[in-house]
Amino acid sequence: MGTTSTMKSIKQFNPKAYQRQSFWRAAWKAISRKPGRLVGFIIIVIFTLMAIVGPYLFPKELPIDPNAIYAPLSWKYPLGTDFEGTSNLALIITGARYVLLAAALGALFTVVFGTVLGLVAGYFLGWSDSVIMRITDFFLTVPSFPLLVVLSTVWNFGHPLAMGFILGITGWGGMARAVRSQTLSLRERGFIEAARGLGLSPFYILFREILPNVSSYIGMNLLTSITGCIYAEVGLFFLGVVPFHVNNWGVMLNMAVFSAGAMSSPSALPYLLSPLLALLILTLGIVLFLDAVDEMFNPRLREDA
Amino acid sequence: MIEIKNLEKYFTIKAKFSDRKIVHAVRRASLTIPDGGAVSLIGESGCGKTTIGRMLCGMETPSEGTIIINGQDISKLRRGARARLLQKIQLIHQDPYQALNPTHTIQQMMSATLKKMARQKKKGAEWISQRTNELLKLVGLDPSTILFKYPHMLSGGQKQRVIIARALTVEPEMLVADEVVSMIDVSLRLGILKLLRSLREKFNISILFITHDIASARYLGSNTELYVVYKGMIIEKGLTEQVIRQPHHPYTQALLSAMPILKGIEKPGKDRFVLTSQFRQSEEEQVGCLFADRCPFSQPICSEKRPELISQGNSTDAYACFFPEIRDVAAVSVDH
Repeated sequence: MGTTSTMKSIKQFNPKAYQRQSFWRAAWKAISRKPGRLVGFIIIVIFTLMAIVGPYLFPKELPIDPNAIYAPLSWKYPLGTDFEGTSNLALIITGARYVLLAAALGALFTVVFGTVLGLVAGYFLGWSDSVIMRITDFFLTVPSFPLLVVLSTVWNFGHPLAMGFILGITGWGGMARAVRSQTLSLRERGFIEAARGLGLSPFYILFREILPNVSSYIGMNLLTSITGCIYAEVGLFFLGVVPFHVNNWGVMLNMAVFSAGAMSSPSALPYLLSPLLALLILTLGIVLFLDAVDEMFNPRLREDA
Repeated sequence: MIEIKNLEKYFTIKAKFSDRKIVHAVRRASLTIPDGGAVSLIGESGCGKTTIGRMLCGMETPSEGTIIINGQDISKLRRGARARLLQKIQLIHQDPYQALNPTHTIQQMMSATLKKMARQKKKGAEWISQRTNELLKLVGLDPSTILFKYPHMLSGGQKQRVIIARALTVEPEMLVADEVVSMIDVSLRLGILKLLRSLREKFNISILFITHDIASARYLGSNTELYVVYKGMIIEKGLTEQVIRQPHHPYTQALLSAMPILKGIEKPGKDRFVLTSQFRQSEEEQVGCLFADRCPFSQPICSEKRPELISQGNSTDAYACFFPEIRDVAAVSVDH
């Protein structure tokens, strides 16, 4: 015990300990520090893998089994089957790609748009601020869900890109406002003034000086808006307002409730619960992982404690 | 060579909806800083000394008056040329804890501006790292231990040294040191002052030293000038030693009297006096001497007419007072 603590202090005083540390190594350190974060990270990785390789694991047309309609949980059908006797697990895995890709694109769109506009408005002020903020106000007042419903009648949401775009375009307003207010307080700080005095370009100041200081906020927003986007799109499919060409979690929920009558017949319950379970686990993973984000981006919190 | 002529600065403060208050922060300040020279501005908080420094660096625009850098009037230059000229004047912030980006390592900070310099000089990455090491060593830091540290891992004094090194990356001709030692641990102050002095002596970098501590102004080396600022007006100027030994203006004397003495080693000057009334930012413009309401020696005429800053004979000394009188307020050693 005594030796290990001495070893630790020796290691701390070694100047080599302050070598350059890459972002990824620091991020891994932050994640692996607490088991909760690690669990969250693993869940996210599993779902990502599911979205990437999932559809290749199964044939394009999932096998149906007329003898096993609404089959209970078994080794063959770990999550039961649906109205055609298709394995729920296979449906979840193959359906993950659309849901996650659309959500990731939507969140990315929200964050990139919100961050860039917020930074520009907050740093330059003046007319650019007025123009950007009026546009932001406009998008903030547009009720996003009814808009999605209306757009779905004219737009084909078969491709996740279209869905992600729509989710993003209605979501960036709040992000832009929040980033702007953070920029407003950061721009008065001494180091921004010093950077200006040193003749560094506005581009450098915005994206290298201010952005890293709001990056933990942005990272958290990215993750939370992924969950937000998932709920929004699954909700759309569940309500049946979006024509479904593809299998995904929202479609499963819709079919379970409105066609299979899962609310009243217990045999169809696995069909309803399996997409809900997937949503729950993914949300849990993201929430657990959020804990690590602050430490990943803030060098102050990153130190070995 | 930097010349400031009749510099004025008004700040407008929005009080209520359309009600505006105007604060007269700097009143007709003129000063000259020769190449490699050092000028100290002293005065209490809110007297406008920082504003003068900030105007000089281009952080604030003067309401009136001219700033001439190397013979060029900066208000008459185009934007790009002005920015290039103003880069030669670097501000060292009062608060080292605020002036470094918490998300950057020291190496990132140094290379940000050095990359730009390297592009101008057509030098490569080798030059950048070499220059980083050189500058960090110059300010008394060990590059190998400090390079990849974040600002929060450094002490206040180390931070201030990094800030000075960063300012030196753009090869400035002048440093505006705004209360550089006030936030630093007392034990490290002298190191920073000595560093500024050596920069002045070795590289001929002139220094505008803004402080409220007369004692630290004396560490800048020989041939320095001291300007005493009160409510935005320069009320006394002269060579530092001269002003400290023979202050003419009652406010300068009050400042000198307020310096703590080392009891038993020093004793206070016999004319030492302490101001009892507080500094007030008056609502309406004062007609008379700005210091009249606090001055223990004021006469009726002091609140009717304002004394101008008048040079005395051929010396550099000047003071704005109707009744100048040398008072013995500075501390003297006991054994004298």
